[in-house]
Amino acid sequence: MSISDTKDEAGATPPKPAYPEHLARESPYPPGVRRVPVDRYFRPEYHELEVERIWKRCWQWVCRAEEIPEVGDHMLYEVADLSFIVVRTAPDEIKAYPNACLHRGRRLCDHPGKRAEEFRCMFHGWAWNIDGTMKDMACGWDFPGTRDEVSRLPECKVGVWSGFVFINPDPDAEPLSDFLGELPDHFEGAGHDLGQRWKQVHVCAELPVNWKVVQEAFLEAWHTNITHPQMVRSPEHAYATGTRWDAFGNWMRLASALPTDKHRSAGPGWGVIAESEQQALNYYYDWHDQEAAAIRLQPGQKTGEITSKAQRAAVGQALGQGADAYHDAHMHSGEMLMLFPNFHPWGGFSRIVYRFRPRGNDPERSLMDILLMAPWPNDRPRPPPAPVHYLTVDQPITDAVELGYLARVFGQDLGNVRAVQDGLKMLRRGYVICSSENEAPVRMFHDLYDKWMGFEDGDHLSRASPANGAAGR
Amino acid sequence: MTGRNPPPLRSYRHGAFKTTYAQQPDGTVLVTHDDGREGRFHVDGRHIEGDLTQANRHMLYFAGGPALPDACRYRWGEVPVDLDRPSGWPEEQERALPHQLG
Ligand code: FES
Ligand SMILES: [Fe+2]
Repeated sequence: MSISDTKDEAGATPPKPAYPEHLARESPYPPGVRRVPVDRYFRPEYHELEVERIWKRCWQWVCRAEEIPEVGDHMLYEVADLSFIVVRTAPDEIKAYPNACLHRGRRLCDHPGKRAEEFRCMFHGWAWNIDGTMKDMACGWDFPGTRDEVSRLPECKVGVWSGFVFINPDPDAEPLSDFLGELPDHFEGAGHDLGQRWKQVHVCAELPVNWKVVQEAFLEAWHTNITHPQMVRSPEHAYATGTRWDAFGNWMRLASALPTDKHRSAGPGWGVIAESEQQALNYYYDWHDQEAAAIRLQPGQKTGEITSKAQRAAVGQALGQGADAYHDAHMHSGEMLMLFPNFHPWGGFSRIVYRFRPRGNDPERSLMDILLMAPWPNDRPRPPPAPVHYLTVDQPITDAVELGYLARVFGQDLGNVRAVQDGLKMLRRGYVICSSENEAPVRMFHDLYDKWMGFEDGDHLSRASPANGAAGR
Repeated sequence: MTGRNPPPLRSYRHGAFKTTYAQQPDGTVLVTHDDGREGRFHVDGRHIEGDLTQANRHMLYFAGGPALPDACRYRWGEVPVDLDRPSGWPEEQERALPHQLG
């Protein structure tokens, strides 16, 4: 059922939902190419500085609030060689602490868990209440004059946005809401409260590459042309194959393939155009040429009509008639967002959320989290959030079959990232080039990266010669 | 939306390069150009034989690489849910995903 043939009880046609205002907002990133020194993708000095200046200072998404629903429920957040305990201390309060005993530094908590009443160190038995206050200083008489130093676990800042729990290890950090800026206007403000979604899928893959290398493979859409050539465009959408990014402070958004004149590329489109509408539909669903298409298009029928309806039906499975309140633009899955440094909550009903982070202290190891956040009705209890499905570095991403078609798409992306990690070291001139429009988000990421790393006046760690333009911008 | 039972071998067109990528029973991929040239390739891009010696390795992977169970051939925006089942997944997917459901 499409909106236009929906009648209310009086027989009047309800007004068609308007084109969403948040999608119409434009804020183009300043144009220009950018040269990025390659050292930052593999040299340990960068990793060490990232730990100090990004991972100890930036807001980071750590878990979903519904993963620690009861007081005492806790999980561990790990990034590089840092570990934090994230615990629910009251029905409406979550706290986070560096995971270290204040006696001689043993990791205080070894595993995530349920309904903890204390965190007791498994070395000599000192214990803190879950609110961080000292509970038991075993043999305290033997530590004269130190009680004040150990009476409270140091705290990280904690913020929650739409069910996503964030921490910032820096006690002087700005509030999360300031860091997010107008991001919420593009979600709950636009009828997409991710706090109501159900975490249906969560895969975490370990990869043998720098976290920025893999993140940047998901930070532009232009590579689709060569890396995902099966993702052909319907001939009627040929105009929309450029990608226009908009920047809003610490985050950026790609709004492509939306039924609007906005966000059009300045240049000619680059997408692979399907040879027929039927081919566009088949490949949209990964129906290959040797199987019968589940839907045969009628003469004159367009792919977009079918896919919009199917997406609407999928949303309707959860929201019922609630889906009718959304314009077709919400149904397209082309709204990519990225919040610095590593969090990608896609907009509309795309469902996708990514996170990228270094794994341990090896600058060539990372973790990629992939979530699918299903719409779910407010008046029904949500199923339990999906447990994390970990993939080792040797497992193919297609082992995570719950990702569906995306698993095969990721197989293509991840087929590139190892090759990128290797090739970067062979670049004699010492830098890569990012384009003005299609790669604006990669440029923006590195501009923000430079700011946080203290490289505003040039990347002083880089061995690339300033003369070739790599050290500056 | 999920597809029907696929036959064992897949093929796809690469319209921009006027080529067809067809999975072969031995796991290789036969690439045929509209001009008649052919080449056989490993899924990772290595050429085996034929006068067509170069191909898009991502298309090779897509035609010849891992397949998904039928129950999981959904698009990310259309992952099915079932409001009445405790797992939230329809029965068909629940059966295909025993390890992922915790
Ligand atoms: S190191 Fe924790 S009690 Fe000694
Ligand atoms: Fe990709």
